[in-house]
Amino acid sequence: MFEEPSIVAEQFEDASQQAEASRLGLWTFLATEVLFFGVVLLAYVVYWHVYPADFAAACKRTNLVLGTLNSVILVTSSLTMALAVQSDLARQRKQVVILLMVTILLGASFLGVKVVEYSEDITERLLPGPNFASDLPLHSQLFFCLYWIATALHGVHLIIGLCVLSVMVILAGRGKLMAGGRHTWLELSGLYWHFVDIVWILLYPLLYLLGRHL
Amino acid sequence: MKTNLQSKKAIIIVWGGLVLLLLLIIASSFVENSSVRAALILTLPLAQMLLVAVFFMHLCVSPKLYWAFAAAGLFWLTSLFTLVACDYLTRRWH
Repeated sequence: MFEEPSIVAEQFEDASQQAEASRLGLWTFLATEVLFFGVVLLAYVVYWHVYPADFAAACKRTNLVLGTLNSVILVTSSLTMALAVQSDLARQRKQVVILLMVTILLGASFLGVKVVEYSEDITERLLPGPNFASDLPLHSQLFFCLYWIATALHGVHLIIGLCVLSVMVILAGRGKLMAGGRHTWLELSGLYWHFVDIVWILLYPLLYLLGRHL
Repeated sequence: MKTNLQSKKAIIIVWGGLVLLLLLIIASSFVENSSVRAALILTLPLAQMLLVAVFFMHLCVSPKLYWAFAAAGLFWLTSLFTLVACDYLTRRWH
């Protein structure tokens, strides 16, 4: 009879020590990610301080409805992700698979809405460059530079999250997440996914609301 | 970390709180006073971030060491913003 190979690496005493190290490792990674997005936020704050009127005019041109829709989608995907982790602890395999698939669907929907928004932005000539909308003040281009960079970086992180969750669905479907203490893998994927949600929570008011008076 | 995390009911309540805060953020765009409006639009998302980190990312059931790791990122970010603000906010031509 074959036994499942141990997933505990040789430098760890047991699975719980390895899980502890993995969680702290991911939190360290997330701290570096805070700085990664932090410089974009810093540039945004500095330029808003220098060109407040131009940034406010540019902010009014972003699509508030689609931005809000994406906020609801992403917050809900965090809900399903958290429920998937909880279901895995309760060893409810079928629920884990379903909840992870819903999370992936919501993440993909976010990207779909973003693509629609990007195409609208391009049609309205909000892509910085020689053809930028002439009715906007000069430094609005700076706002849209940061808008495209920040949302694209966030989108790349979301796509990475979707790839990770797809692997988790396969593992959960085969019953491999619950075996041999692999629950930590799903927990770490959840931490990453929630971080991507946090980044959007911060981007949404800055890009869609700060310069807007409804 | 404790293996028994939050109940599913608690997770759903937190999600409700996040959606409620989102509605409040949008509602704060209607505030006439621009300073109050900006303060609300910038502080309410911090509450949302805290909810996600504390409940969805399990900080509420994690040892204090995890809080220190989570705070490290915020500390670096605060240092970055503070040092740059020291420059830009003290320039005479502004």
